[in-house]
Amino acid sequence: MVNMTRLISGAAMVVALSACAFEKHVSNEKVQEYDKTGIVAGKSTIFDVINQIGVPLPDLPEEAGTLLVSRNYLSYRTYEQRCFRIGLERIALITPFRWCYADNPYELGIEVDDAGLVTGVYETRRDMIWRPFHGEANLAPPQTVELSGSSFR
Amino acid sequence: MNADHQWNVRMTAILRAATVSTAVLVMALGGCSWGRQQINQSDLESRAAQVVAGKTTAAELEEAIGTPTSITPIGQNQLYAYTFGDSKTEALNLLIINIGKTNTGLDTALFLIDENSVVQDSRIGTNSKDLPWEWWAFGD
Repeated sequence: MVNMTRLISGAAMVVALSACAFEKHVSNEKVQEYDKTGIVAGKSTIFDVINQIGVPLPDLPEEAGTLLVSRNYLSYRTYEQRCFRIGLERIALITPFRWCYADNPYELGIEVDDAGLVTGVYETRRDMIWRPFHGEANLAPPQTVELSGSSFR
Repeated sequence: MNADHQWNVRMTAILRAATVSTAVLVMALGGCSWGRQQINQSDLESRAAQVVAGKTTAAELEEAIGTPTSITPIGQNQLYAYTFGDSKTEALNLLIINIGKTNTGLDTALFLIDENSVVQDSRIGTNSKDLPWEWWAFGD
């Protein structure tokens, strides 16, 4: 009887102490809702772009304060990190098993020439996966489209 | 008497095991958790409401919303940039599985200051406005 109760207690403790976790972090999701209709290649300038949708933003709070303004390419993107872990952190100081995948599932790229004129507006979408359940080999290639506003060739 | 004693010992052991198991389960069940990280001035938008283009000076701007994150010269003008944002984490912590999601929005407020140190134009981002609390980590 005592052995049985010890077994039950031990099993309960193991289950309780070894929880797994799915964690997702999404930054700047609203970038996907930006109004790009007024940004036209060959007509708009870098100042028109910044005036309409602002400057590109860093991916993480730790990078806040970094202005990402390039002379020739403005990248507005959503950042996402997906992590799965099997944790023993309630009794250990470390989480021994943790798999993460991070990428930019959405990116609005605006090319600008040396004169500050917009030469291309592109939208790219990428699939995201949960490791270790999916491998990178299963990822579809990124889908990039040139937006209709980019009428200049 | 001997049988009663053995029965008492067994019951005591079972009760002790049940108490320990229940305590461990209650600790493990946890529940929900919330976390929030505000980056610089989360109320920047309301503070900037008192800034009037063509009237407010750079000194008044700094008095209202503080020292900018960066100052970039553009010809005779200067671009004052302030970075701010918000981050909300919500999680459901169950017995053997935890599911959590963090939504972060970073923003930049831009003020164009002319050669007379007067604010001529401004643009304040809204990425961090009304960020949702969400714990469901799956789906797009």
